[in-house]
Amino acid sequence: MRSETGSEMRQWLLASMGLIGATLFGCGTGTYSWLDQGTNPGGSVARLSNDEVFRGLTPSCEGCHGAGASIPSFSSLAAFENLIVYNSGMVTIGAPDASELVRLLERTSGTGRTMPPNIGFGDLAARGQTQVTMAQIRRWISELQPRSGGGTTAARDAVTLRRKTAEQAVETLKDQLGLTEEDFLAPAGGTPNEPYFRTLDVENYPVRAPDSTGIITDYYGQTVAGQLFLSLGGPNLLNNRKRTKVLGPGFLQIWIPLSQAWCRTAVEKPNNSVFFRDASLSDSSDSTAGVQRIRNNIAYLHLRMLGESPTDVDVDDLLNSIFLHYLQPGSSPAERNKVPWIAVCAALAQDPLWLTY
Amino acid sequence: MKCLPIQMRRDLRKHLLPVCLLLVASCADPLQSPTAHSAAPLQDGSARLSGTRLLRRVYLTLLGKEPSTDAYVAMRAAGSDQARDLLIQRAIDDALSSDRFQEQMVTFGRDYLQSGPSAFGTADESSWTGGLAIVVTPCPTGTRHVGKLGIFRSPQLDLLPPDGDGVIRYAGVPITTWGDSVSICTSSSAQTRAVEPWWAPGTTVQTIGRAGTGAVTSGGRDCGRGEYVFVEDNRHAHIFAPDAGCSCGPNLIYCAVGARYDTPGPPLESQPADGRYTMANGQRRSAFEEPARLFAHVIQNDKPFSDLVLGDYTVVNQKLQHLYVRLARMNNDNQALDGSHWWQGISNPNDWREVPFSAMHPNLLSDRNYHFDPRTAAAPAGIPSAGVLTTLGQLGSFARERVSAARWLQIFACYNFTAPPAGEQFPPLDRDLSATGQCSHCHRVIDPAAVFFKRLGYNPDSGELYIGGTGSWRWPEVVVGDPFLRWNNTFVHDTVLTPVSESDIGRNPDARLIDFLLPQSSLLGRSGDGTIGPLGFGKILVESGEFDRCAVQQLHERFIGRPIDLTTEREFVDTLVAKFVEGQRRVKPFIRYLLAQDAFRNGL
Repeated sequence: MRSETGSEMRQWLLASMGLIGATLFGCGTGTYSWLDQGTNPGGSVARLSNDEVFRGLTPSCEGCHGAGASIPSFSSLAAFENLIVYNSGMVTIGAPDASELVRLLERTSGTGRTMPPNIGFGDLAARGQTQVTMAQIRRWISELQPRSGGGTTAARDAVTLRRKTAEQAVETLKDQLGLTEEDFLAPAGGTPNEPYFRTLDVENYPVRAPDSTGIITDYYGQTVAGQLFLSLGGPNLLNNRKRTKVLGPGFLQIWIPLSQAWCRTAVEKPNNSVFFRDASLSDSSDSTAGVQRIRNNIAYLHLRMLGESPTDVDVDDLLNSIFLHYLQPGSSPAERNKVPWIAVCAALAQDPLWLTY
Repeated sequence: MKCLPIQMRRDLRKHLLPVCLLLVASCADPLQSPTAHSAAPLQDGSARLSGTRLLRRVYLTLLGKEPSTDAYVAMRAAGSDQARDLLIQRAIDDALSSDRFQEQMVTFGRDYLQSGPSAFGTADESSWTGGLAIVVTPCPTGTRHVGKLGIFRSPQLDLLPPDGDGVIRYAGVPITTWGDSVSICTSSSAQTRAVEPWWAPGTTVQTIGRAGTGAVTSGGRDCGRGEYVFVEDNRHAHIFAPDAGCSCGPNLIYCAVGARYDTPGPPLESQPADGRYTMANGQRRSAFEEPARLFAHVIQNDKPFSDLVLGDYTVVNQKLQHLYVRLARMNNDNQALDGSHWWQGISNPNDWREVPFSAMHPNLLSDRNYHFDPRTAAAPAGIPSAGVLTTLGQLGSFARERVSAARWLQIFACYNFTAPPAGEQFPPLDRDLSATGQCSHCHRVIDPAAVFFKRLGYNPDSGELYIGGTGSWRWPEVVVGDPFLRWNNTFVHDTVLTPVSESDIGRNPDARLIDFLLPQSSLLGRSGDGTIGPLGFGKILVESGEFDRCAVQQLHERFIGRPIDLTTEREFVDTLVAKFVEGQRRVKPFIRYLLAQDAFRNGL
């Protein structure tokens, strides 16, 4: 079993993301210069490299097999080598006539397929409309050597993370904070099949999927609730808007204030034993017993919200860096503790371990 | 908005801010980046999820929620890896057999099938006609027969413009022939009857006038078909009994209470239209939900996933079933439906049940090998049903053959249509979009698939679904109105979409509707076995292997959490396909397989 603490895991996640960010920074895509004139068809059959064949076939193939295609063989040289050159189902090294690639290009595939569909590369090449000839492709396969050192493969057992969907984020946070739809919406008539609601306060960040049944009757509330859901990733299929699962600024800029607002609603909700299981709002941090109850409830919330038992260090961190840091002036513990509990709650709801699974 | 003080929010974000900044700086979602999964330290197994975090992942993946505190505590108390594995396995087993998992699969189905509104292909909200049912209305308060159901002249008909003699007619008959609710409901001589209605088997309702006579023909006209009228002035549609002697048919099967079905309930005028998607169990909402519910039904009941495109059944509730029956009844050949008593035995109208298409719509055939060539024969019995490809909701959403083809290729073959490279030369545009002009870049793939969807067409005003070339939907002598008008323009002879000659059409105008591939055309490398309609398309999808390749990619992304990188994981896809096919394409065993992989058990 793994022994890292929550803090260490978070650091690991952040470091991973940093590495990714650095890797992707700029996001430029390579461009390829055109084949040298010396390797163009028309002269003797030149011996071509993988790169030259890739560039020679690309104009005819990338329209259907470029980046984003279902078979992206021409999205990059690496993809070309993985999916075509060193794929025994496409190229038989040293044997052009036994290679499916040649058959597809020359309209002789047993599958009935032709590449490009219904045209045939071989026919285009015969008319001089391609950058490489079939003779060059055949010679390239004849003289091709097996790959040395292996190709690019994915680490399939490596860590994968995904962020919660909009539905999961909304439902799990409500559940963990002891909130229900009644904390955001009030009944406003309608029928059992099509109930009407009105929003209690749009500043509480009511969220409702636009594809739900029932109607929010106040126009502003309906708009806000639907837009918040879409900002969390949607979907809204009745308006042909698909789900997005990106953990990006668009999601986070809504999630930060939304989670704070919901935490406030949970802390202010009377008799909320789901949130305050092991402590109450009026437990004072001035007494040893009060501090212990606060620590217990922080530990409970940590397990409930992050699915991980906290270490003493984790609890200390939340208690000292957040709870005690945000203690407010006030005549009663309940007054002083409200913001600290909101802060602890929001810190957990915004934790990468909460957002992802 | 009421937010925490800004300084405090800054502090609270200290965990998250570095992530935000990186996200802004990079151009991709780090969770989905192909390199994301190679950054973790794996050599010492340290990326293994703890028992509680793995339990959380199982719950979120299969149920969309998190475990209870008690479940976490039980996991924490497990004293060995074996005990923890047992708890995980039990959680997976319980989840996969739960109703909540099925609901999660409905949501997944909507994403997978890209379900959309059916308004593209059918009538808009104000024109929704309650499944082409003739409207029966309760006698108004204050009349002798208050509450009894009758077919009355719609007030909307009074809005029609009068003829030259000042008389308002509909279908050539003065509208006064049908009578208004006040005169009928106050009449002491009006006929009343107790009838068992289709919408509430085992009960009776009181009818008045002709509604309950059971007449199925009148004045030589088939009462079951109904007539559609749309009143421009108030943008409302209405299905009208085609003759003054027409009734609601046996057990009121041609009719529905209002256009809204929602009875008993508030006064009719204040009821929401059944065409609204926001109405649970409403007819149109049910049509929207049908494909995703079929998707979930296939998974939950361990049926082959390929039933989605090859199956002869769907799932329906009562109102949706009535919609199928009414659409079928628009074909005069289907009068036998009046006696089918399909509605009996439905204990809860809102329950979703598996029903063969052919039991509701005789032109959606159960024959899995149905061939028909309009060049040599007159008219087919229908088209074979084909899972979601022939569900009403999806037919409305993907209305038109080329739309259906492109969308289904995207969904079931993971086919992505991309722009042609700059500078690509195309032959000048000619008669055939699939071979000429720049459109051919996509249409050389779309049109051979679109062939299979040609017989399905909507009348966009009434929402009537035609299955072209069958029964009442044979090619008309004079082409007026859709779908025939559009078909006449689109189905050009001697093209990939319409591979028949002008003389073939001369012999049989329905030859335009040919809906299988001839040997000279191919789709995904295959020409098919001659099965017509969407089922022929579904067979090619499965036989080509593209259905399986696409399915395992989407299932992997849904349950493991990352898309497969096709540029580097070709062999992995092959492995998954082999596993999927070996398990008879049942999804639950495949999910168990995926969840047993290290990829599912490593994380944070």
